[in-house]
Amino acid sequence: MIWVERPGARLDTHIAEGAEPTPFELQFNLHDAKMFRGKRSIALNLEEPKDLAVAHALARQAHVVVENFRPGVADKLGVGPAELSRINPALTYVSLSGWGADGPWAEWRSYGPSIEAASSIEGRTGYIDGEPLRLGHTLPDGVGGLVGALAALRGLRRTFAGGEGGWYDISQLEAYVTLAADGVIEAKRTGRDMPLTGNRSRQAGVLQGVFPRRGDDNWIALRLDGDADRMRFAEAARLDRVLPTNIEAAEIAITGFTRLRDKAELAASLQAAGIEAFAVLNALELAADPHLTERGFFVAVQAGGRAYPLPGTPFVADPRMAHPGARAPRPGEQTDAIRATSAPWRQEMRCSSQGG
Amino acid sequence: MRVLDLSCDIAGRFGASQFVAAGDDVLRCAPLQSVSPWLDDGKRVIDPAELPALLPDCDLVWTSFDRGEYLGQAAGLAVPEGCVHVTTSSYGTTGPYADWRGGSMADWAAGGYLFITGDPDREPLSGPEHLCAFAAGYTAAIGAEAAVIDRLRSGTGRHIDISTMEAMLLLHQSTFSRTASGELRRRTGRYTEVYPLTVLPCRDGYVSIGVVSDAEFDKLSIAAGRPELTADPRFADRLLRWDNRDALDQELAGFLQQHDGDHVAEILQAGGIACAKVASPLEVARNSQLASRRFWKEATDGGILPGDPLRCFHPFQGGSPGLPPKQPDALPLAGLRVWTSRSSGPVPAPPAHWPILAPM
Repeated sequence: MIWVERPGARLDTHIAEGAEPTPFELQFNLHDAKMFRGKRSIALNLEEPKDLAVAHALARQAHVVVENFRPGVADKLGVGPAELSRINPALTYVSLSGWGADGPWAEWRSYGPSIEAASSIEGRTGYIDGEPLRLGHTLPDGVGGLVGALAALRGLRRTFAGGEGGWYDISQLEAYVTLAADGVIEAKRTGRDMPLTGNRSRQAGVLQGVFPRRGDDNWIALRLDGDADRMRFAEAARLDRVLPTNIEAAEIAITGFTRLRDKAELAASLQAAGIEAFAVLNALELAADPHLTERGFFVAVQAGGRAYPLPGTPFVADPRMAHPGARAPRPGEQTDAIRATSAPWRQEMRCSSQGG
Repeated sequence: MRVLDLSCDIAGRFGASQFVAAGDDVLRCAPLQSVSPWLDDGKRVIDPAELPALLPDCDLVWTSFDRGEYLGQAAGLAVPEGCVHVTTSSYGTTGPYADWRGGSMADWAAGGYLFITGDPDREPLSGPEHLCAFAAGYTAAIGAEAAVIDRLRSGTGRHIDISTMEAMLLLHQSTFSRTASGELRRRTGRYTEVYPLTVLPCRDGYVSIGVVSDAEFDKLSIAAGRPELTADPRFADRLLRWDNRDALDQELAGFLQQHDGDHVAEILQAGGIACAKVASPLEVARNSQLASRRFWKEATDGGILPGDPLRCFHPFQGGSPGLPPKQPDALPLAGLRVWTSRSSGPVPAPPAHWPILAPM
């Protein structure tokens, strides 16, 4: 994968061996390590004809081009879908914009929170009688990326099978709304919006919530689906009677049990009783979680001679299909090497598109 | 391509539905009464009794896993090694939690989003019930597509084990890089680390305003009719705007309370500021941008279903929306009992002789 960067647009976050980075430097280095690992970087100013020619030469041999300019900007720069497909008709071209390439909002600006607001996901998140709240960390960017990756692969399979290329116009809004579509379908069916329910379920018979455990900011999430689960909980908690049918009373009874327990044993003991329960883990706890460790999810990323855990790949596969430990390039690191070669990608990848 | 959907969870059913959108022949092997108008739209539904005859000819098989077991029709089934086999679950099929019970609340907690969502002085807050499972479904579909392409090249199948926990953890952009640098992300309510990248009340609800840089703050002040704020020392940079956020809220309140959310968004967007009304589900159903792009499909019951967000134009010049490719190698189903689930077009009636089967 070759990443085309604008010269000077990205801070060089490289940390030399043995250097003592500031927290700011380390944070940005690791952010780059997560977002750009395994890519090669070429710095090109697309407003310069000779650099644009290099971009066109790369597009001629590429299987996939991905861009996330606002609609129309790539066309103005000479790297839009029409121009690059003329150069390479088999190309899969993926555009990732906030709202999509057409429609009344096409020119609108977006950050992740704008997409979250417009999707109804923010409007469905909040405490009972409270105001709508954003999710704790922006998800629309990542979800847009997932759909962009899926589009690239869908197009790639099509061309590997002998089909033509295509332009995928991905709207982050549409990608994100799909994750909330169940609520939209239901609201449309009933003709009314539902009030905020906090952590409570909208499903009848389901008792769920986030309950305190012993210690500061320690919580457990649990969900009891029906009478059988309520009985399991009452047994596991050694309550002298079944959980009340009144939600508030049941929540008080659950809290009375959970607040006295340590987090390490509580989730395991409830799970042993067959109950959906999981400790509300923070990032430090997740990075050291034994389950994720055994599955090899976190990878050790080197910065300044020390190793730090970062999320690896969710594709746990046999045979293996992802190698998340690769390092991120410095800005424009491979510019000279890529410019100097007429075959910037590995030969076997180019052959594979011709034979299937 | 021949796809067999034996999944029982939302992630698997949603992931398999991505292959319907790609034009593949997706068979759902499940009792007819379990068919979902949305998640199974366009899949062909087959009687589980036909499974042994179909399995050897499949290219891609979807299964679900929970509490240490494969679920539904996949229990005890030997999926052929040469095909791509995708399994979805909350925690994965291996590791200490493989025997645990998954679900929507556990997904929010295990994916690291629950701890950081909500007010700092209250309990953590979950988002929409099945959002994590849908995100895992997209992730699973990516893994499936990549494995299918590799199988086209190499002839090798593989098993892909997708957990919602890991799918959600991967979506954190900077949570873990911050942790490594000594900053543990916690709940901050409506606030982010920069201000005003936040939600504020307007005349008919709330709007999300996206201001990160000083230049954007200047644009906001001008668009809101308060150009003097650009020179106000309380708001001169992002740190000061954070320190004086309550005062800034008061300064903006007059403008925001004059207008409905959609109007605020139009005004601020015209001024170059990212902004959108905090929409309710009904408002999303009639959103003008989505309507213009014909995102929603009419369902046969009078409701709506989401379209395919992978909107493809083909060929490039001329720009007409691409249609799914034809299905050249659909599974041979002659003589088998098949019903096509079609929730967004003409409804074929289920065959009268369809057997009544027990729920999964």
